[in-house]
Amino acid sequence: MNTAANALEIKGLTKHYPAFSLDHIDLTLPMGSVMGFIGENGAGKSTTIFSILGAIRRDGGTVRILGQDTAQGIPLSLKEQIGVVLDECCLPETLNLKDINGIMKAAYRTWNSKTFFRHVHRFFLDETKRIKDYSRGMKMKLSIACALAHDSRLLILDEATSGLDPVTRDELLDLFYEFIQDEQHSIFMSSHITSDLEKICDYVTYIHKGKLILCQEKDGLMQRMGILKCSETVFRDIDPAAVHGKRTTAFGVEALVERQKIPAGLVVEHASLDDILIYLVKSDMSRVKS
Amino acid sequence: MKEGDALPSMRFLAKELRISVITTKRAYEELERDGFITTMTGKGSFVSGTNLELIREEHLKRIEQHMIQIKELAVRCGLRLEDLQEMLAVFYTNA
Repeated sequence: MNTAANALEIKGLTKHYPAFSLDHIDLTLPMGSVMGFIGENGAGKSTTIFSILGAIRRDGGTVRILGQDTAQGIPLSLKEQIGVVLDECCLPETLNLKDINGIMKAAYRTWNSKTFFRHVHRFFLDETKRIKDYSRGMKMKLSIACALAHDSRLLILDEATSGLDPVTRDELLDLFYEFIQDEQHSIFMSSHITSDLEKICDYVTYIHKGKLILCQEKDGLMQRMGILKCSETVFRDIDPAAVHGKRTTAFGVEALVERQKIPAGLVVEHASLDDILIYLVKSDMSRVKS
Repeated sequence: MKEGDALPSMRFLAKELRISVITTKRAYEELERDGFITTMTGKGSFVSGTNLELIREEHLKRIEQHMIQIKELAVRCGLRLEDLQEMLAVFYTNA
């Protein structure tokens, strides 16, 4: 049994491309937790995930997965414990479920066919059809079934639920909750579906233009922050340290603020994870102080 | 729940309520700090018994102290008992 305290430990992760750089990403995912990874398209989410998985070579930094350093690559024994689900189902389309089970059984030492078919039946996936005849939702469910059918301790999801209908996403959320009933299981998920992240995530990390702009406990963040809507006049008297982003409209100001620093009497509305991203990014702030 | 009853595990509660595990963990920690439950690693959380009585007495004592303060303030503004009762009734209906 893994006794590492952290499922994922990333320090100074750096990757350079001609037009884009991942700039010294630090993040820690404690064992048994769920972290949401949020950012605009092109912010660096997939680059980060592929760097973690060793699918692209890092230019700097260290990555420890389930307590093991991966500078020399991810050993096979560790790969057994990582379940990866990307936004596209990468399984060959000419295969059917039985074929996939056969291939996976040969690829993974800890592959459990019973578990695989249990998930497959639970999702009502058609065993007679070939992958190419599956809908997008069914392909995703299949990918997730694969990730859960070997001894995964860390689930890494890259926009796995994008483009899925709410009913399917609800079923998948159930599955993720089941996965973390075991406290040795953790999830790292990038997603635009922040309503799902608002439910299950313990931590959220925001990335923007290759830089980490926030990495905090989700509950604390959402309780601490709020949206203040007021006139320019009222806004001028607000403590600048309370403001983490602002939008000026023809009728006044809307700002992302720290509730505690706003004088009583002013109404501060709920800020969703989407709101937080939009305000932080629009103002191009580099860090939200905790 | 009765004394000795087992609470659902933090992870199960998080799953059923569709919230994060950190939230349920924090909730259980607060309950334990206030003496309502006891958590034993590996076993789970259970409702505390005798502590409930002690806590209730604590709360009653604090309510009495507040009431004494309220009476003193009320006397200073010339409020009668009936006025105070009316004000309290408002809070009960709006709670």
